[in-house]
Amino acid sequence: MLSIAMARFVALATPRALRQREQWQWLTNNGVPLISNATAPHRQLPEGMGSEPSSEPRETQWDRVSQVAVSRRPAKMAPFFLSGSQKTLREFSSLQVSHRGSTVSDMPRGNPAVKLAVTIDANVHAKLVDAAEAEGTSVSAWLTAAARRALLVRDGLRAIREWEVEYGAFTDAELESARVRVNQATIRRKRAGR
Amino acid sequence: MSPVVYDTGVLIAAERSLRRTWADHRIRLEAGVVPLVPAPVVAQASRSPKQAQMRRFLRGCEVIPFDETAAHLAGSLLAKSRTKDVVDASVAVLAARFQATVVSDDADDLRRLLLAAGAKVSIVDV
Repeated sequence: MLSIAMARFVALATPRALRQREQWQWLTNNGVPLISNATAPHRQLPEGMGSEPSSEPRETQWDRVSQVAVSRRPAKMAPFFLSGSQKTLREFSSLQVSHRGSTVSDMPRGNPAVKLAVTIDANVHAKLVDAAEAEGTSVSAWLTAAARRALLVRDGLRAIREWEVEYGAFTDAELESARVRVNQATIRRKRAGR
Repeated sequence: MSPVVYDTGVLIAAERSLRRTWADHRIRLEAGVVPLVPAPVVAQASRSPKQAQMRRFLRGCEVIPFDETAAHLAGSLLAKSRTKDVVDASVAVLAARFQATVVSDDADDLRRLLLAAGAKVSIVDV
């Protein structure tokens, strides 16, 4: 009895094997031989589904499959399909299930860096190479860092303009005071560095 | 203009839409200085997605990840300075690394940490 109970416990556990169907998670009555359990017929998925690369979003694809499967459902189809089938299919749609084919066609490939051919003035190029070398980095990394900084400045200033729309634009006096404060901080830093 | 590291007080002031904080931030960005913010500072200031002004402010900042190397340096600074605030330590580590001015509302603890780091950088009030 203990072993049967444990087996059921395992079967009812959280779905660590994502391939398991809902039907295997159903409760069985205690004391009833397992052979008498009503087991729903296996749902046959449409042939070829998932084995071919598809540009459709997965949910769309699964929605279509769900509709086809339900419309083709035989009259004697088991409760697995009659109750909660849509929900089950939707749950499956977020998973990568094994029966979709041995090749996973939509595995994420990371975020590889983009190779870019750019034209740079000769004198800028020479300085760029020197700067990258001085900082112990590659030209690509140096350019990427410079572009990132420029984009942050651009977006940051845009954010400030948005803030000013809500809270009022800075007056010239406010900006002048800010300029003095920021420059004084720089002067203090230089003194501290001596 | 020197690099700048923001402490938690700056982000809180930004969320409160303190005009002086936003004006200083604008001057720095216009000068091409992107303020640095250690990730623990963001963690200390961030409480809700409703803090729209703080998130808007951070669009013009570079949030620096707190990786293993920085964590060990911060721990070492805490031991040397006999302080306990990991967030302050992350600010001190970043400031020492970039020789950056620190903008903070908690100068005392930071000064001890920066002394322990041997960094000669200034601390500016928010």
